[in-house]
Amino acid sequence: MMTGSEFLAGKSAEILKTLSDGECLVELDLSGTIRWANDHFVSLTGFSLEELKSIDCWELLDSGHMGPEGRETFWQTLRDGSCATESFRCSNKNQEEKWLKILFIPVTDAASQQTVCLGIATDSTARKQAYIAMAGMNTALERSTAVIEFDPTGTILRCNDIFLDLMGYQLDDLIGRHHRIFAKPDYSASQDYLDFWTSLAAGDVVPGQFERLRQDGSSVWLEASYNPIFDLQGNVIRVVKFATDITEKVRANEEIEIKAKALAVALEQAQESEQIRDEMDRTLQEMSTPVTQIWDGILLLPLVGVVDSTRTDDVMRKTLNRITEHESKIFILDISGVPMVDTAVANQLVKITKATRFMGCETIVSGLSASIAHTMVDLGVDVGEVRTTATLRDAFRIALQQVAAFNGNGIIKRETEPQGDIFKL
Amino acid sequence: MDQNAQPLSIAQVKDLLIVTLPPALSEQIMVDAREQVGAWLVRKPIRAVLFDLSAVPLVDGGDFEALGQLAIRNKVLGSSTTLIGIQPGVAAYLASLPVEPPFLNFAQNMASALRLHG
Repeated sequence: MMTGSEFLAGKSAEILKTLSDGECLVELDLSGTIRWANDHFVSLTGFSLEELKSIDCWELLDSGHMGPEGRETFWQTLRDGSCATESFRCSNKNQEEKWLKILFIPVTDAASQQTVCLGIATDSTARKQAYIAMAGMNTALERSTAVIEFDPTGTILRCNDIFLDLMGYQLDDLIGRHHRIFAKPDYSASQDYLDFWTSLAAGDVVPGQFERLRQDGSSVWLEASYNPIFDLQGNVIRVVKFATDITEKVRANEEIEIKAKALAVALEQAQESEQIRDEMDRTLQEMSTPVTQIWDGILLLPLVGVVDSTRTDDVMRKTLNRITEHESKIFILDISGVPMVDTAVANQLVKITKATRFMGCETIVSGLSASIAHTMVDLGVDVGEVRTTATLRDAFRIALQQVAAFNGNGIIKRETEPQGDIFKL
Repeated sequence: MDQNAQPLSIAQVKDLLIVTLPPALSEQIMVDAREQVGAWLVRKPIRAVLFDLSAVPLVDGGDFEALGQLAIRNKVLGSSTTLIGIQPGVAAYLASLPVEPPFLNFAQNMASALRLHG
């Protein structure tokens, strides 16, 4: 029965052809000189077969990472009849960088003498570049970010110096201990904390802002993400945490929040003060124009103090509304408490008189002082439309008589020529 | 003429003519009032004409002047004129106008007006 080696020996040419069809093959003698290469290898390097034959393999393959001793060990392995696998950087003829992973297989002749070795090369450039990029990214993260690794239960496996500096620990203080040393006691004893690690062990990424404790017990805020790492079977084998210290930012936000709350309270107090002020203004305004019904059909407004156009507008509005409410027939406007009347105010009083008359209510202006009367005449105010009396008493007497008259015939007649006391006692 | 405009309502109670003006006054309304009231006054012995404005929220200067002209015509035809139910806002506005037509009387409501002329 044919042995496996005999079978392979018989099939060697066929196997070589099959390999050559799909793989990059190169043949070296044991001094490192390239003796042959297939078309795939020639195409990969860009050199012709004749050019390849004229160079030493280490001229093509960068073995700097192996060193002289490594190279000697490499050749010795092959001489011992064992295979060797190594990755090399090489520059092709166009000076483009390539990464080749080569499996070297020692080949023996019929006398079991090693004469050559066959290299099966794989272009691993893309994978290597991806690895380098990932390693660079990892290095950058390690240099700039606090990194710590846990097993899936939370036991600390490793951390970088930034993490140690941030948390105030020495490496020996942490390795083998549980993550809970960073958590506040009430949190580490809670169901939430158990759920946190259960979630990570299940493969969930947990990002967020976390409050943790330094070795000295002080609080530190971390912007962090806990990232589960999986094996080829999809099992979580580690949890890597990347963290950035945001304590100052959080403190600043807390201060802003406190100040914002204080501001809101101050604003609320200011609004309350404003409301109180408005209420007082309204009350004062109400008190400044107390249009009151003093008798059936008679309204009285005693004006006291300085009168301006705003106040007379208010008098107009309130008086007309009160006339409607009480169906008043007489409106007595007593200005004995008004020290001064200017042209604008006098004209406004005349308008009030006209407006009340249009609503069927006669106005009597009482309490005109001699000085005000003099001023009104000097200012040229048309008082022909206004019925006036010197005292409130006179006005009230007229009003009572007029209401009595109204009750007799129901309306206040407009006289073409205004008179003083048209009703005789 | 606005087809949707409400017409004048005119009624005679004894020797009084009561004219109820619609909420939206217009020039046409005032012309109608002048013609129809004039026709009543020459046909019937009317002592007073009462214009009810209690439903009118807005009276401008032109309307007020037209009512004043009506009052003069009524006076010539032997009748007095009374405006009834002017609202506070309208009264305040009319008081701010520089004109005040003569021969106009005012009453707060129809009851007051009827007591006057009753």
